Amino acid sequence: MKRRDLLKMGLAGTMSAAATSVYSRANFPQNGLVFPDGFTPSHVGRPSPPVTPFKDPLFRMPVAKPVPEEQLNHPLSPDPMAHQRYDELHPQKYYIEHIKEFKWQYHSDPPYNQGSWSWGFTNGVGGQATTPGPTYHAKYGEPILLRRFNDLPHVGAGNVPFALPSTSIHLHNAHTASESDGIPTNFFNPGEFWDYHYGNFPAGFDYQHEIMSTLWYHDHRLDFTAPNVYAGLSGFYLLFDDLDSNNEKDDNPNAFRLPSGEYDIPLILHDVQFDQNGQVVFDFFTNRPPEPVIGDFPPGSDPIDNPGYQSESPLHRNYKGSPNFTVFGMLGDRITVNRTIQPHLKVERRKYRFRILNGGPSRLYRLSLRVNGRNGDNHPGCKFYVLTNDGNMLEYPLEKQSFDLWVANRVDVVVDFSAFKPGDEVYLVNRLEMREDGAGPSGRELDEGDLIMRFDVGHRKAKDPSQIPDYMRPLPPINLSEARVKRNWVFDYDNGLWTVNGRLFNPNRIDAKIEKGSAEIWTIRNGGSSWAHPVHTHFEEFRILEVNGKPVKPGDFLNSRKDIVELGPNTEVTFFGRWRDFEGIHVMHCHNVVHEDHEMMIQWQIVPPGMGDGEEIEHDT
Amino acid sequence: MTPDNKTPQVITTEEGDATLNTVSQRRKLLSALPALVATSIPALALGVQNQAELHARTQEIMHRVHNNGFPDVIVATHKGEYVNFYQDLLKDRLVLINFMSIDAEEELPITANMASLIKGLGEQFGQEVFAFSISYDHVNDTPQRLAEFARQFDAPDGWYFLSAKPEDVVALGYRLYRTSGRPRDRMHADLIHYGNTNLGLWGTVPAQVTDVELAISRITSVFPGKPVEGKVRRAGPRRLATSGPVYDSRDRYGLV
Repeated sequence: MKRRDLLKMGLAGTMSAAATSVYSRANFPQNGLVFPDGFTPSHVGRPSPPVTPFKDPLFRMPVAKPVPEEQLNHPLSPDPMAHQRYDELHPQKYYIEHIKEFKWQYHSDPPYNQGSWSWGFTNGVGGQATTPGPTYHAKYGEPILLRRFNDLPHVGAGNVPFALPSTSIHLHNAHTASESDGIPTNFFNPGEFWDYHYGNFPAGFDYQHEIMSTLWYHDHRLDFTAPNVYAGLSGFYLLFDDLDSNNEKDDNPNAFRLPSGEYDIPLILHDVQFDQNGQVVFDFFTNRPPEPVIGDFPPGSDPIDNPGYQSESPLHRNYKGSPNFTVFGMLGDRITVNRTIQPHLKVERRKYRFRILNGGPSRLYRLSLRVNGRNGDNHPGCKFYVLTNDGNMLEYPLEKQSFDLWVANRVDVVVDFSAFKPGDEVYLVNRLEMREDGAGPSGRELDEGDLIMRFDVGHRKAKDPSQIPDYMRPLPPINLSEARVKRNWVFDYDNGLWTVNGRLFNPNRIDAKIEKGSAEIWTIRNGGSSWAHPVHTHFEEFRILEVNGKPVKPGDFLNSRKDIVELGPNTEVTFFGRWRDFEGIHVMHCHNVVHEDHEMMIQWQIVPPGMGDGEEIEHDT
Repeated sequence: MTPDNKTPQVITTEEGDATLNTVSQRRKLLSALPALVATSIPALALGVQNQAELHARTQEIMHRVHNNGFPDVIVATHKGEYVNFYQDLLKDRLVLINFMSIDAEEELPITANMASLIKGLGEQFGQEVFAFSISYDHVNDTPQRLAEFARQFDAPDGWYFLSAKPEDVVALGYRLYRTSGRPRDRMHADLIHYGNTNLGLWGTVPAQVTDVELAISRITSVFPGKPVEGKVRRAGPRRLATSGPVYDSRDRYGLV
């Protein structure tokens, strides 16, 4: 069924709304692990300095430029024997990046105009590093070799005290061999480089079903993923093919002709916390001078007013030093888009493709559009034509008023600004409220919402050769009889750390051996009733079969290829996946990267056929 | 209500101990102790405490929290010293921290794991690197009992077994790994914090150490680095099918 058919039936909105509201209807219990009444998170007690919202333009990341192959000969050429299938997928393009420390301007108001010490990537050998890093435009059938140098200052010499100058850059969720995937243990230190080989071919060489679109790269360093990504180590990697061809004027009659070029804009959301000097702060003991504490006793915490309060210690009743608790989540009070606080973007009255990515570390969003204030909520232009889930094309676009964006989710949308009047101001709004500790949604929606960025609609009606296709890509078939084994994974919390199946991450333990070329059925369950986990498994996309026993149906947003399971409280998700083309170790982990750093991760290994493990499935034949 | 509102036992300071002298010289805090100990805790909850006085005392504690956000509570060491946790023990050091109680060791034998890490750190330990095992069982884990426990592990100088008032232990646990906001019978955690307190650079490793070398490499990653000298080198990937740990593709012997 196509989008138009659904529209005729009046179903599109309803069905897509149902797909997003799996979590929204849940009532999140607040008992057990909530803050004592007196706790004031620092984003409340010590907010970041204010800014003039929508003053600064959106940062548009440069497109990564390839370099001549010879530039990789020094000090050492890429080693073909270090990469699986190197000759078969021989690089056709070469890139170099340097990971550096620099001052990044999050906003032009003081104190931000002084620049905030950050980490990021150069585009090529020379030049300024940026955060986010350059956007890669890769093509299917064009493998690349990317060499990344770690030019960060050694521990103690830099200006980003909370992050570790040791990096492993993961290409999320490329179909990449273990040695180039950027798993947590494949890190490289200052003075070192790593050669990443990206084959840019679809899983199983299945060009019909396995083409992906919007990927991203980010640090994945063991124990330090959250602070390192937060410090700036993230960027986009886009894949194109003959259909999603990056050309809205494509002559190919089968091409999608989605908005392209300057009308195809990646947007990465990071929420960041700043001190009074405009420097980025991460939770935890960051060695900075004490800042003034606002207020003596937060309301409700005063021992005289609140005799039933459980703790007698004035210290932790009035304890405001910490922004958050590192093992639960890190929330910032400034939502940035492409590392600019509340930017604006001048748009023409035409269609745009936005590739919206939640870069974390912990905040989850429910996004919608609003025009000129609250009354515009029902404006016909305030809707998204959703193209992808986790950056992978759906069968057909879905019209949605809002969608949830968990950490590492990528949702490509088309917004048609021709529906607005010249001079209209359209806001991207978040309505999802988080628990103050960052471990999941609070269960409430924000009335007003956070205004994330503003689109300023131009006066001229612009030419718009772009289209919204009726149909995009078929989904890979699910053949349950192909599944060799079933596995269950329970994500929970125990004794101060986050666990998977009751265990903590151990790089020396392989948690599952999967036979190369096989399919499996995995059930992911949240053992907790009040927190949420965006669970990500590397390497191949999967298809969700059911959520809490309810099957995913055609037309659902979840009826797609995914690499994130949005594991709400008390939620259980079952998916079908395949593991093809390479052998080696990859990981599955919670993409609330603070949870990941606190051991919510397992390793699985692709092994030759006949060498696998797991609970065999009895297929009726 | 707390299960126990006793104040810590007053311990005689062993003036002869060199390590303790160092601590004492860093900051003499015994004089600050009576003010904290003397306050009747139930009186606070019943609202008898004067708010201005309470506020002043809180501000005094906050004032001593030099490092953003670390509760600088008074703790008793297993050698009988009362010291400020941050100012006297942590400040400007490389540290390991864990939570434990002697009675919970059967369930979570974390101290043996701490001991293996401390041994693995070699000569650095006690010089630049220090370890703190915080007992939350202040009723049973008296400094004397902790001292005896430390002897069982041949705890070297620089490894402190600490106890404190329940609410102060809660404050520390609350800060480090998040516990509920009140003392509980069971508050140990399956993790060991490692940190460079001068920078504010912190990580954790699981309490169960199966690979000491790997755990030590994680811990020492936050130690002060050295400027890069010589040519850059390729960290990886190493050649397929060459020897190395199963869990990575790093090339430890890589050519320049």
